[in-house]
Amino acid sequence: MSRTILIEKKILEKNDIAAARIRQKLIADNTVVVNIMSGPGAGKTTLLEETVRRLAGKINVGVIEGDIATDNDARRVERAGAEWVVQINTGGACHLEAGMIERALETAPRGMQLLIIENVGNLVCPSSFDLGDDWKVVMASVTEGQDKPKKYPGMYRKSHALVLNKVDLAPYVNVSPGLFVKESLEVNPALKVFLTAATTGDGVDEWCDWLASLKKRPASV
Amino acid sequence: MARRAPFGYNGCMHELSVAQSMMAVALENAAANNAKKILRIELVVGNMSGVSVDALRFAFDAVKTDTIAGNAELVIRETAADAHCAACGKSFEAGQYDFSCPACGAPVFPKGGDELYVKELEIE
Repeated sequence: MSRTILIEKKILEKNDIAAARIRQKLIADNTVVVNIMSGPGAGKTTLLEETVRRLAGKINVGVIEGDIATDNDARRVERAGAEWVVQINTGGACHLEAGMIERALETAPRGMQLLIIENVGNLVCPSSFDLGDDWKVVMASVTEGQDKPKKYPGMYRKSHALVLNKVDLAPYVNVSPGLFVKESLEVNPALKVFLTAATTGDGVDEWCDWLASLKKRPASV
Repeated sequence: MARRAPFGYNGCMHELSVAQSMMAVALENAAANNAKKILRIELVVGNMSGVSVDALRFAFDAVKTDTIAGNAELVIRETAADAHCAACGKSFEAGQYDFSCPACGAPVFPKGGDELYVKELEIE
């Protein structure tokens, strides 16, 4: 005899519960968590190196690097002066999950003011997983082409800020940063926008000022 | 010194990960209800959830083998985001790639559609 039982349970409930535990843990130190997401090669790690260089000595920054393989990024960010860096290798997974962040945080020092999570380079999957972050940032580079916001709207809709990087290369790749931003705002008008060239440092100060000004969001959000 | 986390993963693609989580929810609830078999799993998947229904079905076939859901049917109820045009007042169900009002062309910003849950199980 078969019977039907009502479940109504979120599929990613375990991830969401782990994300809630991360928020609970980090609220004690008032650590602001920023989750940076982009396609591969947008310049996340270069921007992070520049960010850590500017913020080191001013605020205590920790970094979690997510990659499918290698610890290249963690080494680069550590050399730039991050207080605490851990590399997570997902072994093929296209995104980070809250459980991975929770385990990585077991070795974290107390007193971090800012924790930056560099997600696996991918414009689709990472947006589905809450990492206990306060702020989500989508990063793009002009070399990816102007049409990306509307091809990958999920990531843009869920983010609070957009960093458009490599703007120094715009004249060579026939992309208008202004139009890229316009397309992005047509997907999500609430995006705070930064135009950067991480390798020359252009725009990085404004981005760092914003990071340093961020407050922890209420746990219910 | 930069550290590798003291653990590694044999990770998988996003929908496979979602299928595994979905199967865990189904198996836990089936066990709690003393089920011998799961005959049907019904999901609700929103069009803004970032999950591809086709990829999820494909992944489901991979994760159901050797479980009590081995012959289960997967029923997916798809939901859509709602959009309301501030310019002309039209309300409509929005797809993931709808950015403007079909009536007047003004920009619209859909809300919702991010549901992703196991609605019910049929067990015996």
